[in-house]
Amino acid sequence: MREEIVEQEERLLNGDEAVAWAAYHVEPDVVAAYPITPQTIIVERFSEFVADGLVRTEFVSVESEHSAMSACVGAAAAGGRAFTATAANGLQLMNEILYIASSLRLPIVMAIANRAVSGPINIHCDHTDAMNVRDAGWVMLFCEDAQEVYDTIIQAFKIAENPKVLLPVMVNFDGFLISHTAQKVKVFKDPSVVREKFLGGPRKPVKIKLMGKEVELSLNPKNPVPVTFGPLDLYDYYYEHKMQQLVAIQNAYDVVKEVHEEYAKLSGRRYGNGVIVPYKLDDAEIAVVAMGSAPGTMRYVIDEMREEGIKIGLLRVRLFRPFPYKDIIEALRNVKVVGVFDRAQNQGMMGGPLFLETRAALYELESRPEVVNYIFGLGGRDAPPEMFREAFDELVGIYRGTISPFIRKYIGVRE
Amino acid sequence: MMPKKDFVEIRMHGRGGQGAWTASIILAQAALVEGKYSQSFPEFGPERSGAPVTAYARIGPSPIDIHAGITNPDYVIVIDPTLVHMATVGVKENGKIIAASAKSPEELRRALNLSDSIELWVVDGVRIAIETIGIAIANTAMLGAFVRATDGKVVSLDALIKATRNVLGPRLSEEAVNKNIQAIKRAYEEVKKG
Repeated sequence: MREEIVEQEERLLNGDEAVAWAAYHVEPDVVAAYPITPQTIIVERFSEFVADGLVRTEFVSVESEHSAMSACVGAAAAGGRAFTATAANGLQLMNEILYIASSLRLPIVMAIANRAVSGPINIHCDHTDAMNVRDAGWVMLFCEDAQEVYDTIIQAFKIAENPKVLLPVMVNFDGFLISHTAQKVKVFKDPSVVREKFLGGPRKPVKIKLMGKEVELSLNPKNPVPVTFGPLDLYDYYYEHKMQQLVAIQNAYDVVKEVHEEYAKLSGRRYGNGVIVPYKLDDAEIAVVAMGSAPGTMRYVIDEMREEGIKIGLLRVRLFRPFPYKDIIEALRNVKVVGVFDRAQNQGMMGGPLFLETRAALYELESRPEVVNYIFGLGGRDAPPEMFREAFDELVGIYRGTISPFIRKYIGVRE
Repeated sequence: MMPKKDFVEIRMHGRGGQGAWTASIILAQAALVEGKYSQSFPEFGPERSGAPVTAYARIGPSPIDIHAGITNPDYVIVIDPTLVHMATVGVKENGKIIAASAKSPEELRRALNLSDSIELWVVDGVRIAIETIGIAIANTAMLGAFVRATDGKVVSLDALIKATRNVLGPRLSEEAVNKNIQAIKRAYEEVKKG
């Protein structure tokens, strides 16, 4: 299909500002948020856009993250486009409402500047916050840099509002490493490209038949028959509703890919197939798997080792929920050793969440690779190329049979 | 796209409130003005007025995909003279230190016990800031000194001035922006190698 890339302008934006610009270009009906580092700049910038009259968004300052998500639930149930942002403990405080948002099938979009969860109190990057809510029924995407953050926030609304999905979407990016790092970001020159052309104007809630009449699935007072959101749902129907939700999150897999492709035609930017981003995997014997910003750093190490003739490649997982296990199986089908890098805690678990699911996916293969786990970068501990090089060399050792495989290791930490 | 390690790394020392992070944003913006790629980030942590803070930048001709701290910078810029002792930490062989100081380059080189492989450029940025802007904040002046010390190869003086207008324009009066540009030009002229 012919691509018609729309006019864009270059700006120096950090990850938080990129989110604010994306939200400006989307112009949600309601933004409800509570400040928390390292997400604060998002809401600061966005409130400036509101104050400057660039958006007609209803900006709601709330007293907690629990209230922020509750306000988004109300706004989305009323048929609006709702957006919020948080991190770490703020996300944990929202937990109860996260499940309600997904079960009510509300297409809320939320940005997460991933941060370690207290305690001890720490404001820096790891993915533990997102991993704690990974089963809340949200679609979860992980971005590598500020450009991808801008692009993905915009895509998230279209994914969320697709009638086959109707689920909230969480867009993750590394706190400070991305949230506070300014880089060149291309943004659409004309916001209507996002609002009108890409999203097709204001949100249009789906229509359903109710008591013989067509009604909007929202708390719209103009509905000829009133609609209820969130009634008691016991053993007679709860399970059926959960089944619908399970179908919806699986549907999101195709929709994430479709929306990514549609957006690429406007922007000229692609991130793999939208769910995974392979790098030099075609002939690889050894593969590393990671999410967030670390893959950027890892590519330098991969290149260095490729120059030395080592057949190593990288798989960046962009979509974490629904987990793209089929893509992962295909991408890693021919490798002999896999190192999965989790930037999250695994208290009492066999390994990090990304490791466990990657390893489980690869169980499907008849000839399975060795799969080992590295935990790194907790609480913002620096993750430089040298640290990855040391771990990658170990994977080469496993491949050559000079090092025995193991389950998990903690790297970049004092013992 | 294959990432290339063709960027330079810059570290800046100042005190909270002296605009070290802003200076790194101006540098990153100057790179954009020239069609280059850049990153700018603060020392990741809470900001405390008056406490020593560091800010960082990477600048290069290709996209910069590395997302890790800078431990061995090519260039170190010291905005606050009382922090000059921090400049030497981790600086690369054949790197450059651009320091605000009332001392002569020779004096400062001796005081820092600097190896011959590291180039030292010194200018009294604080005096220039007081004389031009009217406050003892040398962040913009030291960027002028940096451009001279790097022969305009990281970013040009022209790009730096444009970027300063871009970044400070929305925050300061036009008069204050012009004074900052004066500070940049003066430090560019007056900085001495030693």
